[in-house]
Amino acid sequence: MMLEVQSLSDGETLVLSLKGELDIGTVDILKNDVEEVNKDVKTVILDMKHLSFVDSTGVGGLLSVIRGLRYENIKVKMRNVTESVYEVFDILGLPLLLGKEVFEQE
Amino acid sequence: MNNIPLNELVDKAKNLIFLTDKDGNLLYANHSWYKAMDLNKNESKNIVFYDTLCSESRARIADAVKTVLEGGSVERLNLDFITKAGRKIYTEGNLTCYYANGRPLGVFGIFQDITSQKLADNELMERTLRFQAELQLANIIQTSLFPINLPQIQGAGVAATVISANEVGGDYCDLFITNQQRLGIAIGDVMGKGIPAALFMVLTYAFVRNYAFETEKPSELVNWVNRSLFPQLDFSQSLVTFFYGLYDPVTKELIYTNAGHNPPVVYRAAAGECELLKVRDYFIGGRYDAEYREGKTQLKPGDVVFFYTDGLKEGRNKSEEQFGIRRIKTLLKENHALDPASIQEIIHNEFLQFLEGKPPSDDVTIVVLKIH
Repeated sequence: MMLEVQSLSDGETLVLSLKGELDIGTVDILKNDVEEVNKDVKTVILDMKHLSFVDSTGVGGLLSVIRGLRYENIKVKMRNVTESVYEVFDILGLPLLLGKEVFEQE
Repeated sequence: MNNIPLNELVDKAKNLIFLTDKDGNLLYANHSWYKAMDLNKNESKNIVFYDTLCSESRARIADAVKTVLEGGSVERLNLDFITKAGRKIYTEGNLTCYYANGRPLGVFGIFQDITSQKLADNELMERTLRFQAELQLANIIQTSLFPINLPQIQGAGVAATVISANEVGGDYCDLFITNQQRLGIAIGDVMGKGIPAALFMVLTYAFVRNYAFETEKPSELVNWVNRSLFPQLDFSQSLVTFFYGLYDPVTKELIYTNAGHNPPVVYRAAAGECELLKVRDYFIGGRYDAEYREGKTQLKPGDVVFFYTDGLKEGRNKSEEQFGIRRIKTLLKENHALDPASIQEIIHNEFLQFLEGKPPSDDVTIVVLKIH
């Protein structure tokens, strides 16, 4: 299964909706899409409502994306993370590393 | 239309075109054929066509000519020529029968010079073989890092296995006895697969072996391993999940630090239930200054601790269903009474059966510790 990333921007906030699976085969799709983020953007919301699977490579990619955005002083939020995806994040300790406030439900 | 210079067309064609009689004497060859053979057309008389071929090709063309003269057709025939200068020319083409007055007199060949493609294929094949040999050697080295000789510990038994998805991988497992006679259990998984993951696996092995005899505090070891691996992990945007536990055979206590690894499952014999080792922090490579915490648990005779990498839990069958933690817990409950090697073997076999013949997509490592 592939990963689709749809972006919706209102100027300062960019919502990237992830659909499919985030793993070794698809992680570059997310990285490439984030590279194109406009300089005016202040917050990036990664909507994971339709992200059905993530593995450690996916998390590694996600983390490098988040670090890259934070380096540019862009705030990052993860929204609507499903239970199974959150379980993987939780085992790896992502909420501890990034802060629980990064995760939000719509 | 009558003025089409067919002879010139054939002579200047890029393909190697030739005509021989039944005995293999060359009746005609175009410019491309002479050029490919390093021959000068004007100085070359009475050429026996077969003499320009390699020995294997001579046998092949003899059969092909027989087929063609008997009315059959030969397509995509491979002929290898040896030029006057001693170079080998690889060609591929078709042979057809040449008739005069309704009688088969010889064969007509149109061949394409595929030497550069063939040489590139050969080089690629050689490189592939060399790479495979190197991978095989890397596999031997990596396998040698796996604890084949299991440490002996009083009052407990231990078993370990690894199922590799590729020649080399990112699963890591080590078992040893520390200076204070505790059993050290290290298990980890590097993000990704193949050679990059294997390089980090080897680094992890080296750092753990280096520090494990310097400290009896799991958190201290994990802090050190993290700081040692962090620069490279940060540079390559990778991460390692890592669990390190020390089992004391005198107190039967297991102290541990978990850096983002799947929490090991403990089967409690007294309760007949499974629980997870709860204390855990984020993976290795998250922050350079990470301070990992320690957890501890008191084990009792009959208890089984099951350590594993995510290839087991996330292994999927043909219906894309995951093996899952529930299956692991059920298998532990059903087989806790057996010795550690049998428990490990049963779960290993159940996993392979679950995959329904599908090869595992990720490495799977299992360690079983059972308290007597």
